[in-house]
Order: sequence, then C-alpha cells, then structure tokens
Amino acid sequence: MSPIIRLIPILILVSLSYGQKTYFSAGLIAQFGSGLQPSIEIGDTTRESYVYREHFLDVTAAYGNFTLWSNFEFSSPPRIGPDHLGLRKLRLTWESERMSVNAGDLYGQFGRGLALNLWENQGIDWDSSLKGIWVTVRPTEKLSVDLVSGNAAGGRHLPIGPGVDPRIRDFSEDGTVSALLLTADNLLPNLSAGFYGVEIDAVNPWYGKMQNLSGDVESVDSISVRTRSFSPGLFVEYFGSDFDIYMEMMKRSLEIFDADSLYSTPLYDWLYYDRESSGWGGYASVSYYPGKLGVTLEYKNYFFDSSHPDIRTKLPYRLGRLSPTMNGPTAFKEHSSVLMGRTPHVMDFEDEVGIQAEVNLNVSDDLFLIFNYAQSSRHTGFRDVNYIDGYDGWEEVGTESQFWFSDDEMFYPFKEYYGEMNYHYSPLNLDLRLMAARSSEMVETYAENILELPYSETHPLYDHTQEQLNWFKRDLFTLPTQLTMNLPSGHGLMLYWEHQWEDYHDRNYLVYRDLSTGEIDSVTTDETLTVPYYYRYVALNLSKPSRYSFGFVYDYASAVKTGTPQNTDPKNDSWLEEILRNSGVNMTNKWFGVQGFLYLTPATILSVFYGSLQGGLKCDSGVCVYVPGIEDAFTLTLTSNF
Amino acid sequence: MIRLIVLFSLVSNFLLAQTDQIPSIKLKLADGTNTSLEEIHQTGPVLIDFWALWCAPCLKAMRHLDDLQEKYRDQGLTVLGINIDTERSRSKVRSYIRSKGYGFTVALDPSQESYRRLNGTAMPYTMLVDSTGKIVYRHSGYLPGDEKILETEIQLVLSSQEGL
Repeated sequence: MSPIIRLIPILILVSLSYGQKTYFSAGLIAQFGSGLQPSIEIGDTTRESYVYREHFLDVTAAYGNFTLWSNFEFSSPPRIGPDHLGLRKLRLTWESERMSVNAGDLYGQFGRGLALNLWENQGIDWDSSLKGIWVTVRPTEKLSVDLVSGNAAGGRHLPIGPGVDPRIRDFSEDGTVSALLLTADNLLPNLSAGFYGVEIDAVNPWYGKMQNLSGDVESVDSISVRTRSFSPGLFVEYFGSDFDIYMEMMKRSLEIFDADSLYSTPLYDWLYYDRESSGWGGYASVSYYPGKLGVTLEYKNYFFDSSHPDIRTKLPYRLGRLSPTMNGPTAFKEHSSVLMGRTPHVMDFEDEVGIQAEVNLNVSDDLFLIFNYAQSSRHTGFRDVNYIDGYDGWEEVGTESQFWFSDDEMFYPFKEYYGEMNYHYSPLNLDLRLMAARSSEMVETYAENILELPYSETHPLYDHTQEQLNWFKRDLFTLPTQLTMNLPSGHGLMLYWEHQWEDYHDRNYLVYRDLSTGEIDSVTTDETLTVPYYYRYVALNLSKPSRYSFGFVYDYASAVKTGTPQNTDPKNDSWLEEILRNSGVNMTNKWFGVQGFLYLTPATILSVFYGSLQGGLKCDSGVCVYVPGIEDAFTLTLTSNF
Repeated sequence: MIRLIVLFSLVSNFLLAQTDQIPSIKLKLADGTNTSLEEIHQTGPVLIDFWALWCAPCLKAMRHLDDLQEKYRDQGLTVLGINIDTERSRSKVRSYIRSKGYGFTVALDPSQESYRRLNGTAMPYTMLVDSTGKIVYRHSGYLPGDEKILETEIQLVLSSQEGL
C-alpha cells in the first residue's frame, strides 16, 4: 500500500475530529510532613521520627466521546498506607446516548452498594475499586443493562492493639468480580426497580494450625484459599412529590472452591469453618418532606457472618466475611465534628441490625434544626460454656427477632441521640451551629456459663452452676460549637469549640443456681466506672475571602489512654511549646498548633501547619482506620486545580 | 514523513479545537430523572458546586448559592449542586434540600465520578461554566465572603454573554 493511500484514513479521522470538544484538566494534592510519632503502646513514651511525602496528580483529558482519567501517586511514605511511585489509576471512557464503556480502574455501585460498592478514600487508605470493564447499555428509555467484570486486589491488615478495635474492617482479597445489573426506570410512574447478580471468585488468606508429625500444634500460619461467592439481589425505588421509598434485599452464598483438596491436607487442621456459608442483607429508607419539614427513616439488617469471639479476634479472614467490594449504607450518623469523628460507632457490616431517624426542620429562613436518632445491635451473642464432661465451647445466643435490634448487653447495643441548631444572622453573615450528641456503645462483652462448679473448700457454692456476664460499655457526651461570621473589615472569623466527656463502665454480673432445683441462690453485681476522660478542642481562624486564613488549634485530653501523660518533659518541647510553657501554660496532655493557608489562585491553596496533632480513628462509610498523631511537626499541603 | 504529517495534524487539531470545554458527564438528578452537563449548559451559564452533607463549609455556602440562583435565574444562570454523599447519607439528601427550600438543581453522584473526572481536590469545589461550555472560574473551599467574589464572576459571565 502506497504511503498516500495509508495517509487517507488518518487524514479523514483527523478532519472529522476538527471542531470536537476537548477538555483537559488536572488536580494536584501534595503533602509533606515532618515530626515525631508517639507510640500507642501502653506505658511506652518513645517518639519515633515521622516524615511523610504523599502526592497525587489527577489528570483528565476528554476528546469528543472519549475521556481518559489517570491518577499518579508519588508517596514515600504516605501519611498512612503503603508507598507508591508512578501511575496508580487509569481509565478510558467512551459515552454515547445509549451506551457507555469504562475500561480500567472502576468505581460505582449497584443499588445502595450491598453487593457491589466500589469506592476509595485515600485519607483512610481504603480502595475497593476494580480493574476491568464496565459497560452500560440503554436499549430503551426505560431499560438499562450494566455488565461489570474486573479484578479487585489489595489488602490492609490491622494488628490487634490500642486504637485498633477488632470490629474495624480490614481487607485482603485478590478476586475476580463478574456482575450484571438490569434496571427498569419508570416501570410504573415514578417507580424504578433493579435486579442484579454479583459473582466473586477470590483468593483469600486462610488461617490454619500448623502441626508437626506427631499432631501437636507448632504454630499458627496462613495460606491462601480460593473461594467463590454469588450474591443476587433486587431493589425498588419510588419518587413521590413529597416522599420517596427505597428497598433493597440481597443474599450471599459462599463456598470454598477446592475444599476437598484442602481438607485432605494432613498438615492443616482447618479451624471452625464449614465448607459453605451464606448470609443476607437488607436496607430500606423512607423520606417524607412536606414543606419545611424533612423526615428520613432508615433500616439496615446485615447478617452475613456470626462467628464466635475466638474467630473474630484471631481469624479476621473468616469465610462469611464480606468482600471489600461490598459496602451497604451505615444507617447511623457519621459526624463532621473533630471530637465525635475520633470516637465513632464502629460498625459491624457482617452482623448488625438497626435504624436511623433524622428530622430536619426549617423553622424560619434563619433557624434550622436537625434531630437524629440511631440504634443498632448484633443478631448474635456468644456464651462460653463449660460442660460437666470438661468440654469447653461457644454457644450461640440469638436475639428475639432477626429483624429488630436488641438492648441486651450480649448483642453489643449502640444508641445515639443527636441534636443540632443552625442559626443565621444575615447582617453579619453569621452562622452559629450548636450540636449535642449522647451515645452509648458496648465495646466488649464476655459471657460464661459453668454448668457445674467443681468442688472447692473455699467456694460454698461448688455444686451450683455459675452464669457470668461481663461487659465494657462506653458513654459519650459531646458538645461541638461552630461559629463563622464576617467582620466589618471584610475579614471572616471562624471559631470551633468542642467538649467531650467519655466514660467507660465495667460491669460484672454473677449468678449462682442450685444444680438440682435450678433456683438462683446468689446474685452479685459489680460496676466500676473507669477513669473518665474529658476532651476539649478549639480552633480559631481569621480569614480574608479567597486570599488567606490563619489561626491556631488547641487540643486537650484529661488523660491519655496509653497511660502516659503527654508533653510533661520540657526537654521535648518544640519552640511553640517552649513559648507557651514559659508563659505559664500547663502543657500536660495538651497539643497546640498554628496553621494558615494562602490562596495562590482561587483554586490553588497552600496550607501550613506547625505544632502537634493528636492521633485517633478516622472513618468513612463505616470503614475506620487509626491515624497516628504527629508531634512537633511541620506540615505543608498544596491543593490545586488547573 | 507520514508520521510528521500525522503529528502535525494532531497538534494543530488540538490547538484549533474548542479546548477547556466541560466534558459531557451524565447525571442523575435528585428527582430521579437523567440528564447531562452538556444538556444543562445549553440553556445558559452553569455554576457547578460539589457538596456533601458531611462538609460543613459546603452547607454554609449553599445558602448563598440559592440566593445567586434566585437573583440570576432570569438571566439564564443554572446553579447545579452535585451531591457526592456516599451510601451513608444518600437517603437524607432530598429531605435536607426540600426542608431547606432550596430552589437550585441538585444531582446525586454517590460514586463521585463527576468530582473525580473534573479533578476536585478540596470541598466545596465550585466551577463556573459559560454558555459555550467553557470553564471560566474554579474555586476550592469556602470562606465567609467568598460568595461576593463568586457573584462578581457570575456578573462578568452574564455581561459577556449579553455582548455576544
């Protein structure tokens, strides 16, 4: 073929593309921090050097119906999570009126995400995106078909220790996801419905006891195992003029792919699991918004796994555990307040039933009220039973109903009341936000039944059964206040002022029953209030619109959970702490910082911080991670869009 | 030689094309209907604001966005609030907007696809698009008083539109 002939199709393509709309944009987040990281081990006062460099560059280029999105990361090390240098995400999208094709790194969800929810939050090092292809076809106005196929790989393993609640989701999966969604829009007037099926063929880390040749357990180790799950589900959505309803139900069946070969392996004594597991999840919401009132009721019921405490604490990779690509609605309020954000309800996606009610009331143009109530529990509790023949095992105890939460301490009840008042004063553009929240949550429960106490000279009730319930509960009361206003000089003032009281109750309940009659002979109840904690957080900023902002943050804790008071040694003071200490400020358990940011352009912000920040939990959509504190630190952040 | 011609064609094509045009992103509105950014900006300038219920500065800015919508609606301005709340509070969005009585257009993007494609880095993220689809102003964050600067930018776009 002559060069001229080869050139013709290229020239035709180029000439056709003249006049096509093109788009190019980028977003940059560059973070640098240098300071000291305090140990979170109890009694450990050491501080390690802590430097992080975490930079992201998002680039989007669109041309006609095509869009190319890419994300580069240069982190070594990041604030949390693993290092990465180079291209991290890439996706090519083609869209037309009736069809769209996405190839590369995929995000999105089916329904409300119970069976498929692909999302990412770098701040908590969570990424459940797929690498693959997502095709959406709309053959008619009312029908759409989504086909998804891709691979989800990655993991985050959390050590057991201070700040790491065993209920916090970790993940590790190398799975191939294949999914189909059929959606019928306006099936009836304002009524839409969808049906889906999601199959995941995965390789999961699997724990087993390593045995020596004589059968004794030598160590506990893990190997990988193939599992396959299938999750069919359906959802229905109705939009009324002043109300809407949403309902979704799904079921999940899971099996070990090659169980026979695994179970026949002589060196592994597989722990606890059946070869198959199944569970289900449901979510519903109703919103009613006539005029200035808005009411939303939500109901969640997730029952995928009810493993007993040994498995929960020692074997995080249990069979019934949800894939990281599944993430239903949390149905409790996740707060934006600093102190409430550090002490969230830690949700159990595998086993939780609960409700949330929120009322919005627009009293007037200047006064807006929000009330929120949430309550939940697990479906199952466990009792450690010591049988007469010496057998010791976990006995499952269920709630009265699988469809409603329980107040019983065995089922890890959680409850929160929240109220918020927003007041706006137009002449000063003043916004006052007063919040109050009270919550209680069971952190740990242990129940034990000894069916016959052995003979003991010191114990008068040796021929009795003993029932013991021990629980550890947290009560929180938080009062956050936020004030922003315009000053006559054209500057803005922002004041955040938060108080929080945290109490832990340790209760032990003992009952002795006569072995022959079953009657109660003795009841003992001990309740101890452990050290109550009080926290205070203050931030004050003065700003000029679209120019700059500067101010300080102050963080205080009456006691530190590691047991070691912070900032007691003047030798470890930063220059800021030295100035404050020399001015007579008691620095014990206080964290100070000065911060500022500068608008280089309306979409380019340079932020600077010097001082100390307390560590704590950080959560999004029920997924939490412990973000360590940083002391005597200098941090620099640049965000930009161009 | 062919490579040079192709390269020249592509570069010249890119230079002559309508650059900085907002891509046509598909959107689902809060009332359940489907639309696209392209469809919305065909009726005039669009002020896009990415917001979420967890973002306190976003909620403060929304009062002013609603005022801007009321004030410049007759001149063809559309204020489009794209909510990027994930499943955790998606059910509450309509209830919040309706009880507040906001009159601007609200779209729901729980997978944050539009925010990602427009390279948002800090919330609230605001973009002003003129009636030709060109992004003329971007702003990240909200400080008291920012609404006045935004209004000046809107007036500039509207006045340049009148001059066309």
